[in-house]
Amino acid sequence: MATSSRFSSIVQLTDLDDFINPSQECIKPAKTANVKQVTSAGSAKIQIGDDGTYTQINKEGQPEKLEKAQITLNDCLACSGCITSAESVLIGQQNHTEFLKLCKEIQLSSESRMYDKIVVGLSSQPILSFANKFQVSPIEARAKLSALFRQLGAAKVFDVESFADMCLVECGHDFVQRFREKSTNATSVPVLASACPGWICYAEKTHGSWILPHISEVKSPQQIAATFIKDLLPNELQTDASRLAVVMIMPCFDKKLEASRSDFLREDQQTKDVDFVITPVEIEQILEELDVEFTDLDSSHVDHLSKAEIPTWNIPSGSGSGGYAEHVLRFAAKELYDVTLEHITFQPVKNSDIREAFLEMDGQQVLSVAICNGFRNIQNLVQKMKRKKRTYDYVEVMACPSGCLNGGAQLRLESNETKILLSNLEILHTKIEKHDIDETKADDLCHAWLGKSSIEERLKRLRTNYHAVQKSTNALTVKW
Amino acid sequence: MARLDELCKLPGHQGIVWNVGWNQEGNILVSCGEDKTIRLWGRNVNSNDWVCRSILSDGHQRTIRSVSFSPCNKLISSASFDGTCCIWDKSTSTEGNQYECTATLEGHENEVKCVAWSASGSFLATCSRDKSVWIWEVGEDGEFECAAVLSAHTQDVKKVVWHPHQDIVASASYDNTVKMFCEEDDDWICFATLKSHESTVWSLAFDSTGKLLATCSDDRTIKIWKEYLPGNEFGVATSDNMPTWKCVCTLSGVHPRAIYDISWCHQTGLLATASGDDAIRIFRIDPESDPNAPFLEQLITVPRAHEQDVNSVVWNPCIPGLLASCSDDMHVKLWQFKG
Repeated sequence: MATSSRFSSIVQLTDLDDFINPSQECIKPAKTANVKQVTSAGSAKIQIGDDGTYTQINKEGQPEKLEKAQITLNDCLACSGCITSAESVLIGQQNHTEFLKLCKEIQLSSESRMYDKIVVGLSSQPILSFANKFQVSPIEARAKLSALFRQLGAAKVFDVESFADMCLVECGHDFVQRFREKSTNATSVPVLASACPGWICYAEKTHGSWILPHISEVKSPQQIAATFIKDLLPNELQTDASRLAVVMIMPCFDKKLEASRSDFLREDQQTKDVDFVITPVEIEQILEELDVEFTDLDSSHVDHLSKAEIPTWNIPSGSGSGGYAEHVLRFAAKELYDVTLEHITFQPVKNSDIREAFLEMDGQQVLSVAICNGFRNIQNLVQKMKRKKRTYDYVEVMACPSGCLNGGAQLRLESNETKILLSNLEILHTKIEKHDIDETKADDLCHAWLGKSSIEERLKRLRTNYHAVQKSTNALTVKW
Repeated sequence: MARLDELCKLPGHQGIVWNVGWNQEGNILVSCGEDKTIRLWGRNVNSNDWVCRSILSDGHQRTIRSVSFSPCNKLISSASFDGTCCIWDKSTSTEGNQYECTATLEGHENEVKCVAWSASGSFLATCSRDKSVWIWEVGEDGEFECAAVLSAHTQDVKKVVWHPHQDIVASASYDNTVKMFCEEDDDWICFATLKSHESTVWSLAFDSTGKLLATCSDDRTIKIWKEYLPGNEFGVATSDNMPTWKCVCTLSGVHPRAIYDISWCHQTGLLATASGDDAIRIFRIDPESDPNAPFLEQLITVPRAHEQDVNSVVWNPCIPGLLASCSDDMHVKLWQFKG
């Protein structure tokens, strides 16, 4: 399978061209620490050595070795060019080989190691993917994955869903506040979910400033979990946030793009909240390298954030992507209209990837939410918004058709029957115990974390920003 | 002896003319090009000469690469390098031949290369340098909704055409392949990839039955592909209960340069090609030849049909043997085949 296919198709679509070689394609200028003014033409010569190094002959005729331009993944994200050239950079920074290297260094207490401890966050979609492929229960798959990462040296293994409640509660509050501003602020609704980095990447690169105000500023569960872990865990693990590797197990490569955003750098502007994103297809490669069968893995527990936490695994009710639309509708119905919604059914509109649900009062639709998966439905949503047509109050937008259960880096079966695979995953998902969001519990957790913080501090912890990316038009890249 | 007589040369475009197309009645010709205009050509009532009846402008910011009439004849669609498609509507306008841009289809990342209506009129297909093929559904309210974004090609997609009777779209690409798509459940899928050309496939055309497809390429060949249904009597293997499209004829050594367009006349069965050697050529399938290995017979070559590259050729849907062509030389020409 080509690497690119593990990204969502939306990210692949923004890949403009992988035909032009990188030196032509990349418009990122090399940073030079020591800028020498070249005043007369022809006073600088650059030679390419046999080993591929670039040497500049200065005015005095002395050779100076030139620094190679270092291009980070984030530079590539800031560029409106291709994702393809970002891939190689990305694989270099966050791939499973680097992760295994880190595990080995920690196990051997190697002096050159960059991190002291590893904390792993397991999200539900990869667990379901392993459960489905290896025909074990989701609980067993979760226990086996936990055992694998402990074996590799993880000090703690958490469920990302333990943090998801904080994210959903924040989404609910954010929506209600924006809904109340509807009459005075044209961009307050529709509110568009922000958890899918493929969608964010597309919105920033292709639509930019007009659409960004609509996107919820609440961080994704991955980023909230990581900020929490880096804030609170170093103490307990007797290390520093910068030496604690946070590893997230996620269903698609787009999450790697998210982890690399400079918005998610900590106060020192160097330490990332998430250090590694590892996906199911990479876990399979890790197992292969360790020569271990998934089914032969031991079982291990998953750590709890607080003593108050229920010792069983359960996930927010709603879609396999995280249940954003369902929670927002339920929360807003209660908060704005004092209506308690029991069971919410989302009705398909044109296809199964665009589904809607409403709150009606006296025959009037007072709240409308939708789940919008996949690029074609995102297109129609965005174009309707652009033409100022009525859409919904809140939309859970996910780049992949069928949402995160169908993430680009989930395990595929040999039979390649995507539809059967997906319906099996959806059945598994419906079987896991669900809970309505317990706001008190989420608030307690949030209080334990941010109790004494100012509002600004709180917002910094739970929210983020988006940036429009200017399109570059480089005549060299135009192909007819 | 077969002849292709030049009927007229139509000047007007201020730059390369990229594409020509007929309305369903065959009495209006539409052309588009580098000058960002669409021109409608019809016969002058008194003199019977072909004249420019109207010019549509102000729809696109860059070159217009492709233009076509809807099956209902009321709408014209145009595709541009500005990344959009425009829908031009006649009904809302007061004057006889005046059209107004009533919808802009946005979504492609960059240059849109072609736009085509399905025979049923319910769908529109577009393709782009961004490597994707998009299917748009025409709503009752005149709204166009994206029904699929198909990323099957690995390079620039040059052309899309619809099957004459079914909702099947075929696309030609810089990745040297042709792909075919159809609707399955509530999504569109690629059900066939036609591999044989050794360079960019520039254009393609179905015959009147939709059972044969002609493709032309930068590799200077024409290929004929035949549809073999599951369980066919010739033992051609099929998979997933889908037809197999097999290359049954390759014509090489005739075109010295790239072949940019091919048109298959649904009345006469004649094939016309537009080539980078400024020539127009006419072929037909030898009726005596084996249907599973047809022979393409060259009838005519018009060596200097235009002064520069011929970009597009299209047979009139009603008048047998009437052919329109356009070129880098800024001209549109009309030709009559006499057999």
